[in-house]
Amino acid sequence: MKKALTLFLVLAMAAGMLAGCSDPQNETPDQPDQTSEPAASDPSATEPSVGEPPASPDEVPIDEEQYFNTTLGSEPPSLNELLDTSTYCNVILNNVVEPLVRNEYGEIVPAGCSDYRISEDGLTYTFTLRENYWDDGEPVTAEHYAYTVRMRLLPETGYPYAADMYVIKNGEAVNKGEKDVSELGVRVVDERTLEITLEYVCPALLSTIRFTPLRQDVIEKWGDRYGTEAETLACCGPFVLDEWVHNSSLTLVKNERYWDADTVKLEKATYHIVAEEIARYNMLDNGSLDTLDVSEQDYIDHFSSREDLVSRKYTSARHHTMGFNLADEVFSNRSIRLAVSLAFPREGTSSYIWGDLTTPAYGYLPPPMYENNVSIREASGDPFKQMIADNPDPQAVLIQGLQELGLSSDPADFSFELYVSGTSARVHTMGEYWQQELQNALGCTVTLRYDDWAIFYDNCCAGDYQMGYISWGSPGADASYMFNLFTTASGAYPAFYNNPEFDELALAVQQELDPEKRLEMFIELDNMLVCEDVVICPNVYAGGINFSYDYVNGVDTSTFTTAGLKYVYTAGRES
Amino acid sequence: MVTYIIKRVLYMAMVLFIVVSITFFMIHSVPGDPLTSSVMNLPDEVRDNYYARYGLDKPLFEQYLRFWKLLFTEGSLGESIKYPGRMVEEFILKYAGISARLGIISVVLGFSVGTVFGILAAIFKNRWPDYAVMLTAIAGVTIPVFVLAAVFQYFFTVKLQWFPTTGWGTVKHMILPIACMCLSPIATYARYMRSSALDVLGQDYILTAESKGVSSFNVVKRHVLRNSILPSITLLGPSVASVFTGSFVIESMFAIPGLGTYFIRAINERDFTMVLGMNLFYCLLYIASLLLVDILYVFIDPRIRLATSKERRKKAHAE
Repeated sequence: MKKALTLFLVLAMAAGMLAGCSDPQNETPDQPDQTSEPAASDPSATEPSVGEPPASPDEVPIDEEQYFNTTLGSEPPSLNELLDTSTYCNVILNNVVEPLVRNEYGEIVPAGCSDYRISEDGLTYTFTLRENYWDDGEPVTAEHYAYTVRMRLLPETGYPYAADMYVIKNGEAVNKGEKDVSELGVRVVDERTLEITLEYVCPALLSTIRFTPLRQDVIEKWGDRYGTEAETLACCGPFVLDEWVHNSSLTLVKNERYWDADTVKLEKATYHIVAEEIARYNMLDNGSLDTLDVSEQDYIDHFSSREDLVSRKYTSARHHTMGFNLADEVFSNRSIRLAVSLAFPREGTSSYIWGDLTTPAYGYLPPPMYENNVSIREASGDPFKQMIADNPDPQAVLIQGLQELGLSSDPADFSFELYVSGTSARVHTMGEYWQQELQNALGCTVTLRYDDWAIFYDNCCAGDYQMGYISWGSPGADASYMFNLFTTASGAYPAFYNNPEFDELALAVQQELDPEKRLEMFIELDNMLVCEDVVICPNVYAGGINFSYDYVNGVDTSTFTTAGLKYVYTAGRES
Repeated sequence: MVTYIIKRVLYMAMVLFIVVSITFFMIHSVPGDPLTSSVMNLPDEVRDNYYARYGLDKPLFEQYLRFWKLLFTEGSLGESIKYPGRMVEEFILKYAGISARLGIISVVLGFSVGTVFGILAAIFKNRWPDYAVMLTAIAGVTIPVFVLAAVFQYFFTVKLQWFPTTGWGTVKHMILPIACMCLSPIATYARYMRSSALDVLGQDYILTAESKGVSSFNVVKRHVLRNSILPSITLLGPSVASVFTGSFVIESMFAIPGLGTYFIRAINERDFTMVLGMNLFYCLLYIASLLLVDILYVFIDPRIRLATSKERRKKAHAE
């Protein structure tokens, strides 16, 4: 009876969440389902630091029947990488096409190429390709890789991430239609040799840009229908897309023509697209899924009590920041921003709102971002903790700021608006919690406004906000992306921050070759955003918890892995 | 009757035109576009290239004209912005069928079971069958479908493991979703049927029939059912329309590849062409089913005449 009652309460709570007309935004700590968010981090790859390399399958009795069931947060809009850059598309493509290099267990390793050379000036990359084949038996050639680069930069393609490719020589000019595509810095030396020339030195080239092959003849054959069905996609990765039931599941089978087919153990892998959280939990519960990220506390308790499930907590490369609008009359004042940031309840947010699945933030960069093999976060420490120690009374800082602005120095006369993205129940709880805590600590009035991400972001970019809840994740392992968001030129993070010193440093770090120096520069940039200029108020680093059955082996859990399911196998699954 | 139908069809075309036009300008006036909801703040050239590919760089009115031109010259609703390379009509043709299969079964089941339950409740008023039916009806109306789905899913797929949790393809996949979807229609039709049947049962002609010695089964079949079913038929129209667009909740709970999920997501993601195309489809279904129901009336209740007041007056005059 007690159990039934508990179940009823859980369901009632779930009902409440649905009734709040929740969009998926901010429902889960790590928001892997988030499509309407900037550069959501890879849902299958939101794990800490560096994962364990796979134990050799020969040492454990590996199952005869090799299959694997996992989830995909949402239907990939298309598997044509020129049209779709969503996380979901990339998760599948990691498995079915072979990029020049892969990020495996935290390291860049040759994949489609057997090795590569970088010229001394750091501007020319020469790749020697492996002998690999497409699923129709055609060999993979250098032309296929070169074709992708050219297509991404042709203006007619409308490739949304074209700007990332401007590092290729003449990339920007070609994309703007100023130069012919033949002048692009990509050259097919022979069938197996590809040469890429850069506009400027870029140490993070191979960890930020994925060089994948595309078949011109197949794309021309299918036109716009390329990559919209299993039959219209050309594959050359560890797996082949066998079946795609739209909005329900994608089934991959092992590619026998793959160059490293001996390493691939799985015969079949299925990505289930299940929008409903509870349905996913039920699937893990009865073994229809082999692994799943869980965010509902009751289910975390339930799964933790099961002996055949292994749990793993992780921190993602995502920061749920609170952003300030520096162009706002009041928030242009540093003391006001500092006061709010000092008073912000980051510890409470992490424990009350996220059930300790997130980490309170005292800096900007999320922990799993590395330079020179150390976590930049660890190297820089928690700079904002010192600020809190130096300024024990946030209200005094607020009063100082009000005086600087020539306003009434009574905090009770001061009021500002907190703008929150998302309309779900959890987001509302979050907003009200912050409102309450900030009002208590500062003695001022805080008003709330909520909107869907698309509307929220539009308003923020137009400068129509004072302080906003903006979550941002890094799509790649290189930290320079996270700082580039704040430069005057990019302005992707709508802080309206304009500091030439910051802009210069953010640009310099992208072209700096010495990892030691890069690390120092990153620490300096992080410090500028959080302490010196107080551009953002640190909130929490996203995270989550994953449950997998104990027979699952060889999953690469590193944050930015592009290994896909290549090394996964099962040993000891009850049949 | 024929003139009436022609007239109605013409009105339908007008309503469709107005609805689609309003939708078009409304969805374009909402802040945010397909780009802001995914990537954003791109260099101007990249943004321009992207807009040009989907014709979003043209003036709004030109885009509006282009929509109609495409519809009438090529019979196409345009390319989805969020699902590049796939046409909107392709989605409708492919996925409306899946939603429809589930929906039709549950509406037919709901209607027939609900009707029988309602009549039983009316006949056995204030006895146990009545209480049982009304209890089911209250449960069916008050328990939200997502709660029901979660409970069913937990007991039948996790505890008992009789059915697959999610997916699509076999009869086994359909049983739980249909069970969830038909409970609410059963409840609704049972309640309507009960009250109208009670009304009919109190009429003099039932007493007459009974006193003539008509068997009680025939009384129900020939008099009660026919006279009390009209309110239920009225309800049937709108529910037929919603069948094709699918139940969003059920589809996302059981990972059924129907139309519902696309419809909701298209709005959130500002997929202009998709919203417009689906809205046109939904609207067409809705008004067509209303017309169908009006025609059905004539067959069920001969007292009803489908004609405009003018025609009726003319007829009366002639007589």
